[in-house]
Amino acid sequence: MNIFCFIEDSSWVPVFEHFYKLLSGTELSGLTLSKEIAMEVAKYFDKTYLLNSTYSPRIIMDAFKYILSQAKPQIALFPSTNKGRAAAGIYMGLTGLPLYTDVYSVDVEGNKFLVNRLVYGGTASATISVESDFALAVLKGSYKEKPQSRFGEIVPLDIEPDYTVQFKAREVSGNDPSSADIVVVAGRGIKKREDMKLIEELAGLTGGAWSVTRPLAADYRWADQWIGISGLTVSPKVYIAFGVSGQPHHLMGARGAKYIIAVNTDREAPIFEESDLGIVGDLYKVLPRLIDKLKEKV
Amino acid sequence: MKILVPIKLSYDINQMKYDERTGEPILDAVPMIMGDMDRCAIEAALRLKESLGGTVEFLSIGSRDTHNKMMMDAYAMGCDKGYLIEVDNYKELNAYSVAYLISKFAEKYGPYDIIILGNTSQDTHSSIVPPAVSSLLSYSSAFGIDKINVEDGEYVFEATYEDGIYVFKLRPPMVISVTTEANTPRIPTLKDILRAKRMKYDILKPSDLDVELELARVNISSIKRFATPRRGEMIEVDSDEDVEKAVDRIVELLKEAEII
Ligand SMILES: Cc1cc2nc3c(=O)[nH]c(=O)nc-3n(C[C@H](O)[C@H](O)[C@H](O)COP(=O)(O)OP(=O)(O)OC[C@H]3O[C@@H](n4cnc5c(N)ncnc54)[C@H](O)[C@@H]3O)c2cc1C
Repeated sequence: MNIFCFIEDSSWVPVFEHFYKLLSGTELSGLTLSKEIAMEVAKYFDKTYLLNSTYSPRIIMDAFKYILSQAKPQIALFPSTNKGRAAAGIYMGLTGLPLYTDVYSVDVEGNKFLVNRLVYGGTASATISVESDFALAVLKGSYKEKPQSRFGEIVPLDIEPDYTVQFKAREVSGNDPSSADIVVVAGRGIKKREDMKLIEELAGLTGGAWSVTRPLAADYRWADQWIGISGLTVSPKVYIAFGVSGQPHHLMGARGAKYIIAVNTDREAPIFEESDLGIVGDLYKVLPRLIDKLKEKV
Repeated sequence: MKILVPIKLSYDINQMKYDERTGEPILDAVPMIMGDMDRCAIEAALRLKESLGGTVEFLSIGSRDTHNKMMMDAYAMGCDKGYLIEVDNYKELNAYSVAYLISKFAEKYGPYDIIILGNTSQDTHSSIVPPAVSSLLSYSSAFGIDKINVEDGEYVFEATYEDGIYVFKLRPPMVISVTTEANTPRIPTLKDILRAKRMKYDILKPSDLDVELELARVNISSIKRFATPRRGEMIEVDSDEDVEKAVDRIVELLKEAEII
């Protein structure tokens, strides 16, 4: 099975390695848009195509057209991220191959592949039977596989960079919910912006990060990112939510957590159905006391 | 300017129901609606028409029985003309078939200056049909757009991805997809709704679009409620003592998870 990947950044290498093994890959190639990433990951791929340009759909389309004229990958893998999905869709349009996103595992059954993907806002899993050739956009599990060293050839692509697109990188602040062990999340149960201090304080005391539900970010502008289907997907050890109802759109981004703790006044809040520990009560009583308790310990 | 908005009838995932015993979704009991992002796509198209002139057409794939209400919704919002491609068991079509039908339609009924779609559908949220339409038509494109500006015939689109903000400058013809951040869709008045009831939409078959290849379908072998097993421990907090108890349990769990 020769497998082609869209390498958005090096954190996807163990993920692709995991699926490469599941799919009994024999040859692994990838495309990256940055020289740094190419240098970092090349030794794990038989061939790393490099197109040194800011991302744009046009760049992706040009690169895929070239790569497809050179080789016919049997399986293509993409990250289930914004750019990964766009790249996957472009690839599907060019090849006509079936493509499934939000894939978390694949089982092999004879000459068929059973692809397991999330649907319906992450509330259901569908198993789809496919035969080679196909494409998958996979979810980022925490795979620990050490990638195998490979031939490591870098192939620069002679395609003009896209100069029309502008990119402003996200500010790297100390607060990074994507990599933290614990994420403290505020929902609309938090009544005033000042009260976000409590959330930030708990994140600080536990050495974690904080985040919010979409209304707090998109409507109130208390944060510039949120957790959920249209925001971040996190998989910390602990996700602890204060005043979050737990609508499917939000929980989709939190289900990867090992433990879910929720504090909510409403016994019927959907988040309790998916919690390891549910506290039915006023966050304004529980949160300050929790902060005091942790301070006592320090 | 001629704008096309392809829209999908989706399950309302906020009202998903599952069989307690088998874990299978009871789809007959789940209402089907136009997705939120599709509404934003129509709104974006109507705003472009209002500032630059032109027409807004919409297209869906499915059956008259199920789609009629959504088609009327699109008219009530203010679209000029609607089309429905009738396909048996339309829910089984794979994403490529959908993108292929849309591109064939756009070739035959276009050319369209702009094709605007919702970034993700409400139920399968794959975000792959818009980019596939763009590569099938070889149009310029930008996806997951939160902000739209038009400056001297140049369209400026802003999108927020995992690593930061991208600004794309494009000229028609183009395919774009928008998120719910792009705008707040208008709510039709009673008058709009009554007017929409008198509107008709054109019905076509894949064969009218010279589609010869067999439309590929998704071969689902099972679909079940997905839930990571959780402990489901609950503590009701009324008194101050309950607060202590709750806080102690949280601290214990944080220790177990090796956070503290
Ligand atoms: C297309 C689409 C995409 C979306 N994407 C996302 C997404 O990515 N992420 C996201 O978060 N949302 C998303 N949403 C919105 C989502 O559907 C919900 O509206 C949102 O998650 C609800 O946020 P919330 O839980 O903060 O607010 P609410 O649903 O209003 O819940 C507030 C909760 O706080 C509780 N509460 C109130 N006071 C207290 C108190 N004193 N102590 C304890 N509890 C209290 C209430 O009981 C309630 O359960 C999306 C919506 C759409 C349509």
